[in-house]
Amino acid sequence: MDTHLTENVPAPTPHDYKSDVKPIWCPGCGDYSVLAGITRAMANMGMERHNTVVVSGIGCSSRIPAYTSVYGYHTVHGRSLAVASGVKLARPELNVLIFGGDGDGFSIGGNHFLHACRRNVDMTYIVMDNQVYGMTKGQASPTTEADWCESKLTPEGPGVNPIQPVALALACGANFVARGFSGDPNEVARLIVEGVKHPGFSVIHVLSPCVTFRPEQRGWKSTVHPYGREPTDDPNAAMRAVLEDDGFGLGIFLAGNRRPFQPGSAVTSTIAQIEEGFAV
Amino acid sequence: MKTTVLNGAANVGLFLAHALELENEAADRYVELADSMEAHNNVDVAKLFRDLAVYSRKHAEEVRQIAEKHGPLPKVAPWEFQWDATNESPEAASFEHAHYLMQPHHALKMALLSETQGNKYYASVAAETKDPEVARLAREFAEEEAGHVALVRQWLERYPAPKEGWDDDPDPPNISD
Repeated sequence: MDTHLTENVPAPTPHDYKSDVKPIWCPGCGDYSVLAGITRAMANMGMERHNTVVVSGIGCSSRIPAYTSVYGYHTVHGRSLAVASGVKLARPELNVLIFGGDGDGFSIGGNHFLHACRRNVDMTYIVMDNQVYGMTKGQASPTTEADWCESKLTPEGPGVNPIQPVALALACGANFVARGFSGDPNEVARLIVEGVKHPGFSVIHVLSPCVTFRPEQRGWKSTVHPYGREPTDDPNAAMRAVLEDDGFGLGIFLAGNRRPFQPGSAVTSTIAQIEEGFAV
Repeated sequence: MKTTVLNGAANVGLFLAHALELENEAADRYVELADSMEAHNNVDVAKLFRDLAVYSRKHAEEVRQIAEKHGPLPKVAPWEFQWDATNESPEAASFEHAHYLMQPHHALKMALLSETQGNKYYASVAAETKDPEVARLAREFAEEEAGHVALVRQWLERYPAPKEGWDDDPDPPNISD
């Protein structure tokens, strides 16, 4: 194990990255553990709070910016990746992390997800997937199983196959793709650290049970398993392996080597010129 | 023989780093659970978790004072800690066992599990380390945890298991009509 002697300067602790706002998630929700993983990752990296931005959309998991002490932007539904891309492209020196759920990321924000993967801006997207719209009281989401019949909106199940987030991220060109489980927040922390360090767009799919509307997901702790292969830098090899996975394999699937998207920083027009273009 | 507590049993610095993490995470988790219960207006259980956090914080402070005598501790990443049989530090009560209508009995059962796991971890280190100072400290901490286990068992006698239906809610959150 690689260990280092502590220096005189006090190292940041996970506490330093928590705000005074207390989470209002349902007790037992997996998102508590993901938040623990996030703050542990930030502390481990010694992230400068004034140089770190967390961006989210709408949903239970999108409440993360309120619970952290770094800069936060709680945007509109499904638009977190668009806003975060703008933040990162305008201020490339910032650490930009995006948090959201399966509905926000793959339905309302599905189109943004495809193009964020394709564009490969250097930022890290953590999707807390509970296969349900929890905040609006339990409707089927894009990752819900076709035969899930517990919602009155879909009494016979949604009837369509769920999106496979990891395969979708690979198909669209994300440069780092991993899956974690909220029941192991220390491993979630490791994946976040790896994702932030890896250049380009990193997608970390975190299985995070909704104990209120999907209580059966408490059983995930005995369903998840190590992915069992070394990360590859070859997206085709990663995709072939992921297609054989049952959706519960945990680990890093791809650590690719695509160059991140970053346009030139030269100023091409002034604010006044831009405003002129909008004048009616 | 390689064991799952290898890191913590290796030397005094790594053992104390593990012990400090274990005690701090236990206290932090009780605070988080108390906050969560307050948010759901479960004031009795919130107070109980808050009290448990105070006890854990005291023990963390004792470990910190011992650690101070041994100089700077090694920095260990969260995923480098090796616990006996748990992903997180063994004394951190699991979020997944929480329920917004839980009663003191359930909170104490969670505490009992956590304290038992803490005792087991220290006992495992004491049994497996080759370092006599680690063995001495681990035995001492294991005894202290055994005391906590006994104390929580006493508290549990005052709070027997509630009758079936304790989680019935006339206005449950998962009604969608």
